[in-house]
Amino acid sequence: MDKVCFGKVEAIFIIMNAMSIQLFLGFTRRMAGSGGTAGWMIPIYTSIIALILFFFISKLYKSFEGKDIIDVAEIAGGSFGRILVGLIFIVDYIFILSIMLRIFGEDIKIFALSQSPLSFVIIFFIIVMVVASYTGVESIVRLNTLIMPVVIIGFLIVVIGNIKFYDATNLLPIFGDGAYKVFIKEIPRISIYSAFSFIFFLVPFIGKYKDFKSIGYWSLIFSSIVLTFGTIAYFLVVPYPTSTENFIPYLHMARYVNYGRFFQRIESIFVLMWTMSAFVYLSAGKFFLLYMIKKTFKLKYYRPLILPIAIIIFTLCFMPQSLMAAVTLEGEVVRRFAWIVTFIVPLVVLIVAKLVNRKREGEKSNEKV
Amino acid sequence: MADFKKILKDLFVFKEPEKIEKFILKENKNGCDRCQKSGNVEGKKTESTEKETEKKEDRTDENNQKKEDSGSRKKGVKTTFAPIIQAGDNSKKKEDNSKVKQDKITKDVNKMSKVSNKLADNVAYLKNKYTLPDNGDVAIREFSITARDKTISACVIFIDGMVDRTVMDLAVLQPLMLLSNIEIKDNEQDIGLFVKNSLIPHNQIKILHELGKVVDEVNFGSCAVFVDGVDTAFTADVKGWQNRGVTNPNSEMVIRGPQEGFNEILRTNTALIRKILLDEDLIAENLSVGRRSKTPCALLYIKDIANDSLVDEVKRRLNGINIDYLFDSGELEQLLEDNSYQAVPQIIATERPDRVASMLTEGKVAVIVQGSPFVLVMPTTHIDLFHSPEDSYVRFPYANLLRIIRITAIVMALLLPGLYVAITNFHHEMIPTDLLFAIEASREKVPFPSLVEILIMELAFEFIREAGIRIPGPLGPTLGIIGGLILGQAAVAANIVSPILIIIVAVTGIGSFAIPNFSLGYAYRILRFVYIFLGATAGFFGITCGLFLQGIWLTSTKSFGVPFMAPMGPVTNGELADQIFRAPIWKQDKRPDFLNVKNNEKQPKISRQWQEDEKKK
Repeated sequence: MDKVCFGKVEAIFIIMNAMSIQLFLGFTRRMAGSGGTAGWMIPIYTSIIALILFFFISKLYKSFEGKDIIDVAEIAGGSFGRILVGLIFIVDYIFILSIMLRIFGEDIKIFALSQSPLSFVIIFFIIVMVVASYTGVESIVRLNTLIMPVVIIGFLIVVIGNIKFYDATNLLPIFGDGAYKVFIKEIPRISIYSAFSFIFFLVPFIGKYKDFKSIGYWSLIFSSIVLTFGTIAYFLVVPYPTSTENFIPYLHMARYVNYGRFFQRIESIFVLMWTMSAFVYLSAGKFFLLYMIKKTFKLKYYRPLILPIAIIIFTLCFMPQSLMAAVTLEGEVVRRFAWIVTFIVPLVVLIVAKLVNRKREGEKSNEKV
Repeated sequence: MADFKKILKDLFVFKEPEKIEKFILKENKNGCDRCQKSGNVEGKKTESTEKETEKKEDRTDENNQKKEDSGSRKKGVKTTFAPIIQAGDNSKKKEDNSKVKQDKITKDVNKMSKVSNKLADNVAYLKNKYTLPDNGDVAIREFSITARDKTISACVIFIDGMVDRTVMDLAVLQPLMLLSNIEIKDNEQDIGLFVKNSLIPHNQIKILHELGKVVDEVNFGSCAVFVDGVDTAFTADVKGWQNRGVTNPNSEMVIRGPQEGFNEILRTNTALIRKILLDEDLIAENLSVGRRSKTPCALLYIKDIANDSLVDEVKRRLNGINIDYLFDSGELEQLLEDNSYQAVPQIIATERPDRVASMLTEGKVAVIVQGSPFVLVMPTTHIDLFHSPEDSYVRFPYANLLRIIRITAIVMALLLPGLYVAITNFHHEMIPTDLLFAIEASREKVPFPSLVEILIMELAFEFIREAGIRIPGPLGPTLGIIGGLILGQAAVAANIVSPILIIIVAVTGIGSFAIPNFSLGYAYRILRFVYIFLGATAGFFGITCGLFLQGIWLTSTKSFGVPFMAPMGPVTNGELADQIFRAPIWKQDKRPDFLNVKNNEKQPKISRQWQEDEKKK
């Protein structure tokens, strides 16, 4: 696994895909619920906060070039640190992946396979995740590089196709539910960039520190542009408070596209592209989960874990009672608190590791004297 | 049953992976190692390798022979070979010791590896080796050479049907038998050298000491001359078997471009490529594959372009093939490819010399197999399989149009039936209302679900296609067309299938014929059925799942160290001047970056100097 490496473009795309996939789920609905007509501002200012946090993280990461966060945790706290940090990320990823899997499965069931049982739909996702884990991160990342332009084109078709429904008055009042609610109360919405934690496990595959920095910055910037632009487009089409009622907003926007007799009801093609993006996200998430487990417990191979972990995720995804329970968990738990695992934990680990390193260097220089 | 259990066991029980370091196409460091090492000899290496090694062997053997024969040298015969026995002398000695010698010969013949200086031993060895007289087409002609008033026994062995008798008679037998007594103004006293230099006026003579090599040469259409008293054999290349001439390629026809195709003869094929690439740096290394068949192969590359590690890897794989017989390049392709379970081919097989020449100039390596008109070129990427030889010969707007049509046809061939099943079963909202009524009306009387309908028609189409190949003469393609039309019409009239399905199947079939690569066509014919089942099971979602799995499968594949989906997955630094779309030919400055070639520049940035000169005016 250590010999695999890939370039900047591929790394940026994989992180961007992971952060932007929520646009095709209930992201815009949540933004409407959080900030009203000013919900489109939330991705912008949260991305600025994320960029500032990453600035500090990247500065601290300079001394740990080529090491992932588990390695840094080992430097910081030895085996205890490694296992603690590893377990935090493992639990976080299992929780998020199982919820997202449930949501993806339910969404497919809503608009494509309404007669099929949920387990039948989810089993397709599981098969894809298992096969992709066997082939490795290299193939997932390369395939994502091929898929991303197609997904972006599909997204643009939906956004541009709805241009005749745009109404700028839908964005009024400008500050929506109030500046305090939008800018202060919704700060935890920085969790919309929780998938940014991929970068801490991509480091060994990227290698250079310079690339690590540029990947981090560009992926955050591009994702915030996509999320903001997508949210604005939705708000321009669907006025508040109707914008809080559509369950899968972009599916509805795809339905609105209507040019002549033949270019209409394109949501089925939209499903094709959206599902590809979902497959990449879940496959990459599962791979990094396996990678984390391997590094945390110092296992020699990760492949024996592929099927057991798939079964665990499959089982956990049925734990929420219904789709609404899963969506509530995603919106109120994941998208409010995941920022702690994504930004705070690495920050703390890096600070401690830096201090430990400094102490060791101090002791070494004392010994030499 | 045992295999199935093994497959299940491998799937669920973890097996420690083998510690194999997979081949990685290394980046080139400065300089051309192969050029530095070989210098000027490289171009002649393939023809004179054996001669040089034999010369070295000759010298060592000569030294040994000198020591052995010093006691029995006759006056005036400065030879390191055995002393020449005068005419008539042998017969008495043979009569006296015939029985003893016969026993000795039969005992020693099996252990012989070097050519003996006794003709009788050599003849006995050959008769034993070729199981004569059972083997009816192997002929041994014994005769006498009269040279410098000495009569020396000799023989020639050849395989009837493999040699050109006229050439053999004129260039080998006639000079040795009739012209050997002409006074030749040559003071050479060494009989062996005298025979080689003066008595066999043939353009390709090899001097061989090893009997195994002599047998190999004879098996490949040469004749071998043995002279009594000389411990070497002389082989002359007198190949003259019947073969097909250079004709049009059968599978890759173009309107614009050369109309020559490879045939079954190795040397003809190498010559066809050399005719196009008049480059002394084009290397054609000889190899043989197959323990028994010893099928001659040639490995071609341009030494100052191709990556050394790629050439070494191809050679390593060729030398590592341990089989009895090799009949065709198709078998060799299966033995060389990275992943035999991958649906798509990882090596290009082509009948066109111009296509091979073009790929060699990109830095790829070609393998020609004796007896096969298909030449293998590696490495390949998925995009290469979409290219047609005609793309470079027509103007770039036409080439790009053809590529768009081709890609659309390929997508249709793969996905159209699956999409049809998915739309009719799961996604009715996609179809415009009028079309939906038309489809429903046509399907009203059909008793089968759309999945069964499409399977019936697809299978029927496959049967017609397969049957059309086996039928000889002009009936074959005619039957295909008529069979398709009649079968389709009859099926519609019988309400087995709906009319729209005939259109779907026809477009699918025509799309599959538009695939330029023969093997890729087969791959997509198989995958089409998978997508039909996925579409029937889960609609567009199932098809997406299939596309993702296929994409994962392709991106994880490599062809001789090159990622199969390069240059898009992974993204490489080089220009995309001739990948999906083709830029004008004067803009294709660089070779594909993913091949890590030695010399990346194909042409300077300004390749149309005449335009620059015009601007200056």
